[in-house]
Amino acid sequence: MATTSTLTAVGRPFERLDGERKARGQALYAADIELPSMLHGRLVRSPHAHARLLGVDPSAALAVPGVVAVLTAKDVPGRNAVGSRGVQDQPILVTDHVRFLGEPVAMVVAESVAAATQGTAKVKVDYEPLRGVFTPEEALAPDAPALFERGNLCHQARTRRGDFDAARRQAALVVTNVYRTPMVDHAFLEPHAAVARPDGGDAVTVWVTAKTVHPMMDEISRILGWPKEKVRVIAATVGGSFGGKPEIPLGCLVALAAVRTGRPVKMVYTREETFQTSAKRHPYVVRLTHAMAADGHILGLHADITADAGAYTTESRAVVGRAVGHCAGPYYIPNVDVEGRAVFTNNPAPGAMRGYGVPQVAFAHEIQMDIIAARLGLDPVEVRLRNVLKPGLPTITGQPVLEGVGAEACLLRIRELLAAEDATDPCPPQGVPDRNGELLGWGVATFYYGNGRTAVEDVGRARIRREADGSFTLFVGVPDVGQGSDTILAQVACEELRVPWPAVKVISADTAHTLETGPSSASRVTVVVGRAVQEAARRMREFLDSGGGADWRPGDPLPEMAAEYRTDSTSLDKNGQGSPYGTYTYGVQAVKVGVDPRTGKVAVRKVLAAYDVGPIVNPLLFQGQVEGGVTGGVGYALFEGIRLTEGRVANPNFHTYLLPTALDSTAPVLAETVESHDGAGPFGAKGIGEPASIPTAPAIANAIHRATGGRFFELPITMEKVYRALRR
Amino acid sequence: MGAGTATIRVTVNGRPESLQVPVGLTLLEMVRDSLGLKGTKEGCSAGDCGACTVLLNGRPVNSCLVLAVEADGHDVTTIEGLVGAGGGDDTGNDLHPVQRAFLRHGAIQCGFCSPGMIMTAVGLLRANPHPTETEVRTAISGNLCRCTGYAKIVQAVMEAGRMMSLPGGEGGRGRGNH
Repeated sequence: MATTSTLTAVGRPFERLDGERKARGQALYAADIELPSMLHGRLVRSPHAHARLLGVDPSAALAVPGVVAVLTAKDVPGRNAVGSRGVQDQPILVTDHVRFLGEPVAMVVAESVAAATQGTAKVKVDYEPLRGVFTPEEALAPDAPALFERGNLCHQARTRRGDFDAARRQAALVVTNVYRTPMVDHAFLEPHAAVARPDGGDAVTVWVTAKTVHPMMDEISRILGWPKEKVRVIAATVGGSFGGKPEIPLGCLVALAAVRTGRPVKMVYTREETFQTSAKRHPYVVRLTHAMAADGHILGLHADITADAGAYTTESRAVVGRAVGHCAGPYYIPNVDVEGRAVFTNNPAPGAMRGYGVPQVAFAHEIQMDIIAARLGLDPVEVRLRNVLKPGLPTITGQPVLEGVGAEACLLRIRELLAAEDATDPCPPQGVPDRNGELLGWGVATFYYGNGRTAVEDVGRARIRREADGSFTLFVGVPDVGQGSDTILAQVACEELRVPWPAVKVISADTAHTLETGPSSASRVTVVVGRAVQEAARRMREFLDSGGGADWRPGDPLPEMAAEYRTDSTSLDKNGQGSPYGTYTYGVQAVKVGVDPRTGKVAVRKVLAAYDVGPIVNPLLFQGQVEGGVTGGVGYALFEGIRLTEGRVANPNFHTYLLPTALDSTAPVLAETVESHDGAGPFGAKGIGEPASIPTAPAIANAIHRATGGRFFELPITMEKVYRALRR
Repeated sequence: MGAGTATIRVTVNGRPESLQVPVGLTLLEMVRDSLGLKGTKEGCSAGDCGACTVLLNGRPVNSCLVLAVEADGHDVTTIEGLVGAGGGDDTGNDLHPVQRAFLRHGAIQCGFCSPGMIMTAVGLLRANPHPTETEVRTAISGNLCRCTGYAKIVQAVMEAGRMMSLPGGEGGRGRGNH
């Protein structure tokens, strides 16, 4: 078994490669890009959530000084429909049917932002408002107005295995509960922005803030009706993603405007636009039924999951597809009947957000486990230990757990840590305040998370070039979205090349120079792209070791090696059975909360975590992912939630949509890893981005229960809810 | 120039500037658009997120909530004006101690909040060279960060405070570590 102790680059807490540029304020984000004779775009957006678009009259706007052009759907030369994951159903400018509030109907392009904004007020738009549907229940009613000809059911997915009904008949205990989770915003600090520059009359370069550039290139080329080679997409410095970005219509719109005007065009969303119109985390309703044996083994699971897909498909199919495979948690369950669906509504369309449909189901299955433990008189960690997946056992999709996985070890370690806490700093009994007047309690939550895209062969690609000065340049298609992937991949390359840090420079996410290698999402970059980087580096090292490049002379092409890595994952059959991921990250978080019984205010006091994530590539970045992920989880647990009134976001800014501040996020986060080496990622490393956040909300809910006796089935668990529960 | 504009004199990063600005122009717009200093970020335009923080006469302000004309006759420091201000280290690095501490502690991820966060921290340490952890957290509570969870930022600010109090450090020259 390889350990990181023999390694010189992997496992070291190096400073991130882009850190100094960012600290100096020199990193260029999309909104920072200035080009000569650049124009500025602003959008005319529908004030109706559901409407027929009857006409757009731009004449008064064109008379505004500084306005250069007004674009409508008629100006789209190619097919006016974009999307991700193979479903293109969203127009970049509405043709005739408005499906959500804030949907763009026209783009005003002007010499200044002020002139463009003035112009938008002068565009005359005729709408015929239609009745809207704002919950999946409304949308699936027989007389509901349809968003699309095919109806309001966006997608359905199943996972079936064994015989749940038989398991239910044998069960000593059956536990059913319904869980609800809200729509939440990524709230990356950088609002969406994009810049496009025409290159001659038949090519365009577009800078975006994005987790992926190649699909953006595909969509822009289809919108323009141009070959892909004529469209270059570059990720500028990305000011946070968390699954969000790119905003596909935005990149297409600036490209179209640049081509139509022959001048560079920039468009930056306001914070309100970002809140009202861009992707979010899907709200879920999750109904779980566990059939239990008296000894605490799970005999069967029935799950019914409904996600609000909003107005367009975006990533809903894959988000629901991941949820139906993860809704059991990391437990062996022989009999499973799961159905999930995504339903179109006239709400802003959710998309991918850190955890991709799994935080919602983890909230449900982990509260279920605590309720089951209480009903059976078992310790919460013990009931999880009796069911946790071990090497060789199948997940609910029938994928055997790999040798070397330490999910059980994570639980055992958390049990030790909690025993130590109990010995040194015990919590008073439930409902009894400590000497500071606080109710205290620990809660635990377990999870697993498939690394990579679901049920497709996930492909990583990378290229390495040796420069004339002997240094190396690594070309990868994935942008560093802030998590530090450039640094992680450079560490992998350095290690495999056996060169001192930091002899590898990284060029990432530029379609002119990097190979398509999927998005910076799905906790896949370290594992899937990392393996391709490792392989390219190995080939380069062997080439050089065998004397390759020794006769290189100035003017010769520089030596280059490329590599591709494909995961062992498979597609799923009609029962959702198969091996949808190359590997999984496993883990447990334990959270201690303090509850003020006078106000219901919950404070997170301490967080312990144990992960099966393989060897850590960069401890500084790992700890940053965990601390940030936990803080996002605290917001999800306690106060975040988009409030919608007939499709309008009622809290579209940071004074009404509150994020955790430095005063809310004071708990120490002590994360450990267990020995694990399933061999999937480079040097055994696995993904931590999403796993950092997934278990936090249910662990907090379980801790609040331990402290107060109150059970909460709906996020966020606000102060008011806790206060009311304490008064009951 | 016509009505609706004013001439202002401001010192930006130690350099005197004379600018003709619309009276409605914000300090943020002046810094980013009129002067091209893109290190200062726009995150919300409502004073909620702190990404646009600059120092006005040494004190942190949300530059999206200050008009450029209010800065007339005053001293503005942006992230670009910080290098060299804390004295270099023995490797010739010209970064301010707060910038160095942010890098060493991994306090930067996506980096969009970092310039504003660093300016708030510099403002705090000038006013209070030895802040407690609670004082640091309170000072940066108007600067949102979605990536880090703040722990590494707090550690970096505390460490920068200690470094700056050493002989030769900014704000503590000749004062020693007491």
